[in-house]
Amino acid sequence: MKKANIIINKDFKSGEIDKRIYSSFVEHMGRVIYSGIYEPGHPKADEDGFRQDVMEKVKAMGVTGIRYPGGNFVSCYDWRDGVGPVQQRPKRLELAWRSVETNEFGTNEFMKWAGKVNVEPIFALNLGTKGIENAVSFVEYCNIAEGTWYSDLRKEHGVKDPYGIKTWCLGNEMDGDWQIGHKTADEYGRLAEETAKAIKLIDPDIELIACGSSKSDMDTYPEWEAITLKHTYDYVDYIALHQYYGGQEKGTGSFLSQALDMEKYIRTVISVCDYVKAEKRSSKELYISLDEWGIWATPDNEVSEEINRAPWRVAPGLNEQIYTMEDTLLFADMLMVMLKYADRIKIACQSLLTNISAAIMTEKNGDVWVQPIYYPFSYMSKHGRGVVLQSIVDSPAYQCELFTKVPYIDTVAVYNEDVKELIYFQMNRMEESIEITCEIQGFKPEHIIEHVALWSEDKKMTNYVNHNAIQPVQMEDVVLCERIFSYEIKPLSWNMIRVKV
Amino acid sequence: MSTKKAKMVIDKAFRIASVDKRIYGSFIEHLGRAVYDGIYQPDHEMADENGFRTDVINMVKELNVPIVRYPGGNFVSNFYWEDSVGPVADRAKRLELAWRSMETNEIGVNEFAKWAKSANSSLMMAVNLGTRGIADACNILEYCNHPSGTKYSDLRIKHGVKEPHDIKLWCLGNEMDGPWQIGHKTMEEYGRLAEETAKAMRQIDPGIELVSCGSSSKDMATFPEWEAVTLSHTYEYVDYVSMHQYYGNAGDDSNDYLAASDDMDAFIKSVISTCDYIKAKKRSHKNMYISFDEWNVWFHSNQEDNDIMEKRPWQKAPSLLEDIYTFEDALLVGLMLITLIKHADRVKIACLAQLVNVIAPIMTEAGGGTAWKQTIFYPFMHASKYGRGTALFSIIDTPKHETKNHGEITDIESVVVYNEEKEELTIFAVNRNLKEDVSLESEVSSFDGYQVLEHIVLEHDDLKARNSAGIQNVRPKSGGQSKKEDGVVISLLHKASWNVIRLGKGREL
Repeated sequence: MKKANIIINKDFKSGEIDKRIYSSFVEHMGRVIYSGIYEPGHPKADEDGFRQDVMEKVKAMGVTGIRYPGGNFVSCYDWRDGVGPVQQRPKRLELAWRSVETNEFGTNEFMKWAGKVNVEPIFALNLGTKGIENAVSFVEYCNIAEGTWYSDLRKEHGVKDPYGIKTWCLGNEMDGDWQIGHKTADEYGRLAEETAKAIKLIDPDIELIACGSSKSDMDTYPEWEAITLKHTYDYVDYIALHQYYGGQEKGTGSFLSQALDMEKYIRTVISVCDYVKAEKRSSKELYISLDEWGIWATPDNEVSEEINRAPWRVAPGLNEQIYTMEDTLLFADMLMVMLKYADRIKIACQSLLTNISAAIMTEKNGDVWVQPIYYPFSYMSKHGRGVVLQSIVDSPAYQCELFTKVPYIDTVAVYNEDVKELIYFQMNRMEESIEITCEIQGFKPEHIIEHVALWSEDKKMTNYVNHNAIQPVQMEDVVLCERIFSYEIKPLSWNMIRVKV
Repeated sequence: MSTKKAKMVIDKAFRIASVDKRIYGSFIEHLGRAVYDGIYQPDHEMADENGFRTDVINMVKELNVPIVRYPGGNFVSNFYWEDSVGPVADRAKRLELAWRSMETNEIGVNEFAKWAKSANSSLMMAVNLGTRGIADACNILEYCNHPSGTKYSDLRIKHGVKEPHDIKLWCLGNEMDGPWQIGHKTMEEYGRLAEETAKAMRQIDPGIELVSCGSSSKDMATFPEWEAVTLSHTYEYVDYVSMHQYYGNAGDDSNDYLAASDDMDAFIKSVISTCDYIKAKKRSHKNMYISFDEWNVWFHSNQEDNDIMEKRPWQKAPSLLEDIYTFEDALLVGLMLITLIKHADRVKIACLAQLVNVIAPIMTEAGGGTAWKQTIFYPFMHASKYGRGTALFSIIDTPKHETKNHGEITDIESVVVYNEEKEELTIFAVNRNLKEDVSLESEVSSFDGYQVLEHIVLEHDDLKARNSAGIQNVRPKSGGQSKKEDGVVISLLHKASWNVIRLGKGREL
């Protein structure tokens, strides 16, 4: 059996985890909202039409923040359409997904729902078809107490206290030619800069996210970051980074190796930020908001074909991807990679929350069930809190189409001082077991609290037919001997080991 | 009163990178008395058969300098290499524009290669991209590296050098971002010229490594745009981007002066970020490395230098850039060395500028007296001698103190190098707190059986103490206070001191 050795040391820390790294994303798209989180008339709906069965899953998933209302949707959205008496709200052609938006659900409904599931809102502004005026009026509506046109309008809409929404995205994926009102790097840089300056005049405590690249293989990456940040650096707090991985057809090895691409992508964006920082002679560090990430099991073109086959439907069933065990491994690994860069990544939004590339699936008028990706997310959100420790990994590796050296084992270790726990998240990219040895320096390990493993005999297994086909299993196989613990990691498995120290 | 404490943790498993020995390189430029009256003085009693001073060579050997950059510096930007080869009697005298001196060309690449060999060093050559371009860069490369049978290789043979010099490292010009540079270029101009020169030079000898000019200092208005734009041209054709940086204490604020290594650290990080940005932009798989090929303290001589160059130009070997270093300069040089070693993963070459007489660790008396060691000689010697192996990550929790322009800075700066082969571990540490001693507790429990061999200290009550010919006011001594107890080395680091704490396995001094 192959062997891997991992060393951590209490003093070698890499970053404090910001809990917002466990955020998600709700977009007006397909059935994310309508018949996802919101379905008046459903047996489990509460008085506001929110599905309580879904809310329970959201809470148990450990989602800490939600980005809203898009996504591509936001680039032709007027926030005014989604507030005020519901009967008077206009139905709109929604261009991004070629659907009809009824606007039954808007800002105030979202904020009410967010309060019920206890998540921090992250709002996106329309810099596609709108601009500074629409952005500042929206911020005024949400964050000013009273006595002005838009703050009084909010009160008139029945919301007495301002929301104090702290985090705002300056548009969405503005580098993408699919974006309604797509902009060049210079155009976006200028607009984002001026919008940011205006917003900070209204509320200096607001934190702003500038659009970065939509994925690592955009032609304009990383020039986009360099050029736009030269405009926005002094006025924003985060740069966005989006990434979805597909490519299952290339085989398990290549597919799973994409976590290394993600790491490269993150490092590069950090480099570009630091380059611009030096150019601006700035002492401010820019952070990353990885505010859309996930796995795509369905090719893009199938989604657009589905949209074009029958456009202008209300809440059509779009892109309802079903995840395999293999997909789950890369999904979990993406989150593990983010933890390794916790010193720079402060926000991350798993995309999306319900039904579309989602962990939580709902049936209209029916049940809710969870995909296997739900589990690593919820365990990592629950236990992945504290300080990330650097890991020195000696693992066997393989070669694939994309990378010459991919370690079979990936690992990240977190120290939670509050509960005196060392938490390891570990992944086996090999289709065989590997013997893992973990050396712990600087701690006195007391005992193993638990070992949870997620795997399946069939890597293509999903929870679609049998909703419980893939579930985490409590294991009893980790042997702790003084400062070293060891176990055999299952083939193609994701694991969490908690050690009391 | 109890001593302040700092704690450091190292772990054998947590490594930065193997230290490239070339970071202990230096630099000889045709400037002032570096060459003439420095390394070369045929009528000196210590001169060898080639006219090279053996006392100077011996000191260079003490520093153990693996590479020497040559022949400039600013000098190279109007250098005509053909002038400096062939029969000495026939060599042209030239107006040397960079330093407004007279260049006799008595020493050229063939002579210098001989010197480097006797100093156990090898050459890092620079080509003139100021007043010349691709053709002349190719010609000198052909002269130096091509075996025979072509115009310039046969010319070399005719000049008595049968075997090619086989010079591996070449700088594509010098400080081309600087307006003072003869033939200074904009970043677009330089990027294009360097790109095409690099491509042509690689056609002659694909085995060479090339250095693209980076910024002349962190304060250049074009930094780091210069790096981004020029590397966008040269990235695929070069191996290193250069960095240059000098510091001084003209404002006489020693406390703030010793914070300069923090600026150097930030400078290196920014250049790495820029390289990695361009790497991604070029979709390249290659890492760009750093050649920090000019670094030192330089400020003492500025006024005199201007006087000489303005009022008494065109002298042969004038006394230019003859900074006489103080003890505090040695501390900053130590701090800069620590900074370089900390970046061992990306800084693969560094050149202390310079080696002899010109902002140098080694001085010779004008007119043919003795050679002597400046204060900065010692930290460089220690790092070069003991700083070979693998640089380790160290986590340090140190007291801090306030400075005028750098805010609060650490008292202790340190780096640890593990020489696996010799089973030695060396802690380099500077206490840059000028008022208080600090006790450093280094947790080294992963180095079982290692004992303190020696604790070398460089310190002086007077920060402005200097050495001179025959007088070594500032010199290292052994006997610093370090002891090992239960896997922890406890060292007393005196205020304002450079410390080399050496540990070895199973041996005690």
